[in-house]
Amino acid sequence: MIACLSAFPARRSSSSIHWMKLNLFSQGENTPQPFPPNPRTTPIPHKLLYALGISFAFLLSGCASSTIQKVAEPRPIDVVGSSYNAAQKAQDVTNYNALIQAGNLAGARVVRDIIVQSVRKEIGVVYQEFESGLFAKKAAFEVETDVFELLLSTAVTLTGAPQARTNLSALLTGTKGTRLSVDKNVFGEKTYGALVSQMRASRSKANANIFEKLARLDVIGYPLAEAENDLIQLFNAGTIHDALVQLTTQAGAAAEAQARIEDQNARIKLSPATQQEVDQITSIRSKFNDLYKKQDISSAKIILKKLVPTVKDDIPAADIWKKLDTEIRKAADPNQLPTLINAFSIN
Amino acid sequence: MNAQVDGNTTLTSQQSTINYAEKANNSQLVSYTKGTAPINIAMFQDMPLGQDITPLILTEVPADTSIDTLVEAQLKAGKHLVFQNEIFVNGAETIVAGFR
Repeated sequence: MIACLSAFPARRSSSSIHWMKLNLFSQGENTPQPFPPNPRTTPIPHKLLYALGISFAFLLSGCASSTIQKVAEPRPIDVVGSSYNAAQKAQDVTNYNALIQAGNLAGARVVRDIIVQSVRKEIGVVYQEFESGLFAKKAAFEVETDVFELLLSTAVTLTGAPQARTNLSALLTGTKGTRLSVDKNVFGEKTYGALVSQMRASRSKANANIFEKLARLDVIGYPLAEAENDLIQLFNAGTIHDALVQLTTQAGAAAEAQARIEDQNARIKLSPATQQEVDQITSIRSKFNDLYKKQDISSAKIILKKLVPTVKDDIPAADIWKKLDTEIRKAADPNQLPTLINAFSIN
Repeated sequence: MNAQVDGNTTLTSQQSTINYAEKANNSQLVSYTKGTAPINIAMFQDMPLGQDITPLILTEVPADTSIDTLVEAQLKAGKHLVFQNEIFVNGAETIVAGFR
């Protein structure tokens, strides 16, 4: 277990994504922070994602693999070619704080919206680049195989929904066949589709949340700090980790929903029966049992033909008993009882 | 097979309903519990073709009566305990034992 835990910091320090977040979302800092980042200031949501993934791997595999590979995720936003960088953002934050201090809430709201929309746009640009690269440059996209596979194993186990099982099974198959080297099968058509669909759906939801708050709330109801949290959520929505966690969660929920449906379907409501009806069905079942024990096929066939006139004369013996039993089962609704009473000649 | 039985009915009525279902479906009750009020949940197990199914007897277990006393009495009549649970009878929670 100690060996397992010792692998954790190595993974965290190799991730460049923390640097991006600190750089972009640290208010009042005019210059980018040095790389690598200070783990103690890493944004909480991403910590949780890593912790969840690593916990899955260690708990389920018993630390079978101590080799933690890097997951290439969207690059930092403050890159060459960006139209909005950390320095610009820091200046805008300074302006925002000054307007708040001056009590100019309307002005602060305008600056807030500029900051949020600018950052949101940059996240979108990076995400588009990431999504394109995910399919076009599979070889450069490294995956921590244990986490990937274990998350999917859990999802496949939990899921009861046919569609989810199909997609996740496809993902799992690809991974199992290539534990040591990620080849093209890992990112086959279905894998790519499942992950991208989930990331798009999560991003759409996160974007809608931001739009709605910007339009409805002023800087008191929706301050910049909260907006930045939402932007982090938007960014995370476009990552593989988040997509896998979402897929796993949805698979579990789908399994529970499916179980509830099956449970409800299985619970037939029994029709009330009188003692007379109990006696009648008992006589019918007893007669059937007597014929079955004697293997009196000819008598059974006569009764069956009364119930099902279309039955063929050369029907196999085994089918006669099955079909006759099926006809008796129809009397689970006592309204069908008279037909059986007549066929079995019960008084 | 799991099935719902109306818990607003009498114990005698529930007994008839279950016995009827057993014969019709060639199955045997293996569990009987209360569900969401006033529904009781009966669980049946399919039986092989040709096998006779002994009728089920449902008996209320009074608060001042030990289940052992009931079991002993039923054993003398050749009946064995199938279950003892709280179910809905006439809409009220009642401890009931099933013998066969």
